[in-house]
Amino acid sequence: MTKVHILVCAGLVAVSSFGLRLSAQVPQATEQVPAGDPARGRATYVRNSCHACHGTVGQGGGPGPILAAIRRPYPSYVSQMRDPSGAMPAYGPRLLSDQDLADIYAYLKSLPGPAKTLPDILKD
Amino acid sequence: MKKTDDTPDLGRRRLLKSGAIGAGAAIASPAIGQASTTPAKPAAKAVPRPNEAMESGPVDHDPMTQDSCGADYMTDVIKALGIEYVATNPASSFRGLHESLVNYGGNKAPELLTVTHEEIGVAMGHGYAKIADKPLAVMVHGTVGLQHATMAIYNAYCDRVPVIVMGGNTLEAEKRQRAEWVHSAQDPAAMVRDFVKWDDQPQTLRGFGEALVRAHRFAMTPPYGPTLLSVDTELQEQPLPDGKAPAVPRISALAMPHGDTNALDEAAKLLANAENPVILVDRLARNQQGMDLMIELAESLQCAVIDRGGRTNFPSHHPLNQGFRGRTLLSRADVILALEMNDLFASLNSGQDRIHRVSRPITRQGASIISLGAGDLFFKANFQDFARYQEVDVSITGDAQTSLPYLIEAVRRHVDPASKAARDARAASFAKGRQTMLDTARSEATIGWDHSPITTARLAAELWHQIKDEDWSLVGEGLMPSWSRLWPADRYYRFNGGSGGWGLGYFAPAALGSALANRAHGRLSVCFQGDGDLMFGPGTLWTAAHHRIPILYLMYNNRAYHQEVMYVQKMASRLSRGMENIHVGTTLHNPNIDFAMMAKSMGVYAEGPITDPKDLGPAIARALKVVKSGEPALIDAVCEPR
Repeated sequence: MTKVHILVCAGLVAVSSFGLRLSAQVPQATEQVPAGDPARGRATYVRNSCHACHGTVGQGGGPGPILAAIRRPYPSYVSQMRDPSGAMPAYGPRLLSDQDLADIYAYLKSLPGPAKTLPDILKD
Repeated sequence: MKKTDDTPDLGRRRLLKSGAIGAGAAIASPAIGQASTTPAKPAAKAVPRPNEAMESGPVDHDPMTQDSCGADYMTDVIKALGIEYVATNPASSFRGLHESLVNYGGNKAPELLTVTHEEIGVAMGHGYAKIADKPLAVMVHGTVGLQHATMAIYNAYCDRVPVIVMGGNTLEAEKRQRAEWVHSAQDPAAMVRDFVKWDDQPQTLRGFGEALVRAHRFAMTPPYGPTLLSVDTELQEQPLPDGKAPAVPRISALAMPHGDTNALDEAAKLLANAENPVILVDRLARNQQGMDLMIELAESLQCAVIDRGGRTNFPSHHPLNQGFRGRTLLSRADVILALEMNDLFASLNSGQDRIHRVSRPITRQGASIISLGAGDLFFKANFQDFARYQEVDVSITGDAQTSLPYLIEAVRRHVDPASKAARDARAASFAKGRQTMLDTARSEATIGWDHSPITTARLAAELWHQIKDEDWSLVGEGLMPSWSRLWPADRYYRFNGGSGGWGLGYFAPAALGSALANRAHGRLSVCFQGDGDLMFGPGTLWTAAHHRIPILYLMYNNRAYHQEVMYVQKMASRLSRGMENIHVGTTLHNPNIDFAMMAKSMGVYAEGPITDPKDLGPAIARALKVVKSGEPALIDAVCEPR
């Protein structure tokens, strides 16, 4: 059976969800971030197929913006998870508990962001 | 399944020599010595058996050879049109034309391309036409071959690309034998009439000539599109009437339709006086002239260009190319020029995949929208590829590429020289923003650089590093994210767009068709090949090897239909049912497909599966050596989902 794909316009959607990572980052709010377990967070992240759009190491690409070394404030992150804008599915409490969210956030925070120096082939 | 029974049968019917045996005619002989006591019944009149009238027995003249055939005339017309290739999966219903092309025609201009599935043939035509700006032809068998081809015909139709399809068909019932019955139809084109520009079923050779010339003309008049001829087997196979072929119809050059010049002038005035004009373009550039004209137009206005990528319309690294911030610019634009847009509504309105689907315009109140394109010259109602209606202020119907010289001239007349400084400042800020975007993108590409499975950023970077100094052509990029935005596309053939109908199974064969067109120019054709797409038509690889079409298929093998993973994920989220089962029916693992072994089995040089990114560069180097020698190659790289 041939499948019909609906074009997801990354250029128009990418501004939603976690937003483009620009060189000028949103300053981190001084909110209380609940403790999370990065290892448990990775397992939850993959089990819920977050990597399908955002990449296993949060590298982004396609419909899912970059999440590695996340700098989005925790309340804003929770808001996006529970009631997202854009193409992202919602993860209500029946799918992910508050602790799950904290674990995933801890995992994303643990992921390395962009390298400090470019590999030679990226300088082309 | 398309072949007729090949048991030799000359079609002669032998008259049974036994006497007619009519129903109820038997007369019992009286037993010897016993006299009959009942009067003899008169002999019943013999009832002819069905089809007896058609049984002629040995004929006086039933030749086995002939000196001419209609198909030779057909070959002459095909050659006169400059059709260089005819793709085919062989079959009985066009054996006449097939034999003529390879013998009478010398298998040259056109050359026969053997494909293992008709969908591959038509998709090759689709990709070929987007580079060559002319069609190839495809022969398909009766009803069954045409059914195979329908998906690719639909893609070509949606993408507005010319392909000429010729379907063999046996019109005369008394001529059909065995399987030819299920391979014939009164109106085979009915299967595809809703998504071809035109079709015909000529009854005579002269009719064929005129029909093929017309099919070519319709296919190549904007908006381009596929056309279909149903070609009778007897018309192909029977000797020429009186041994003479009709003349090949005269073929005239096509003059493309342009938009009304008054309307173009009105559009030019709006653009020239705008503070924040934006050009939105999708399927404009048929050839390099289209891109060159786009550069002239944009630089005359010093305005942002958002290239939606249906073709390579505008250089990707031109400072005015602002697609990366398209939504922001469209929301601020006071005048928007939309050129050959496939789905203008989707570009100018937001819509989210939620339970209640609501669309809202992203343009600002009072923005003027100008639409210029050939789309309204040809539409059909059934299939909904025409997308949702978008209100515009100025609607100009005509081929956009042909209209651009008039529009550019009008813009230059209306642009106020006193505004040059403001326009230049606008262009400078675009250039700065673009450079920032490129720097950021390069930085972001390093995330997961050494990760396995391989990131798509690493995949694209490794390939680019080895082709950057070549005359490259990215003939397919599957559904992967466009890290190729880091590649400077400065010619119309650098990217060849998508399938149009978003039907999978397009990329592998279309890439091969584009590579075939590129071969004549010595270009290096490369393709990011999705695993799911290739599985629809893996026979494409055999055709690549058999016809020695140089192309590098760099697999973007994420072992799933990831677009569909997202859709099922969305539904599981809406119903709060959990994501544990969304991989069921959406993944291609267990077992993993060995694409390298598959390619090798069809004569294609291949390596893989490669999971360590540090192995990619050397593998690409070895494969490119093969491609540059004139052969296809495949590397199976196991990748991240996106």
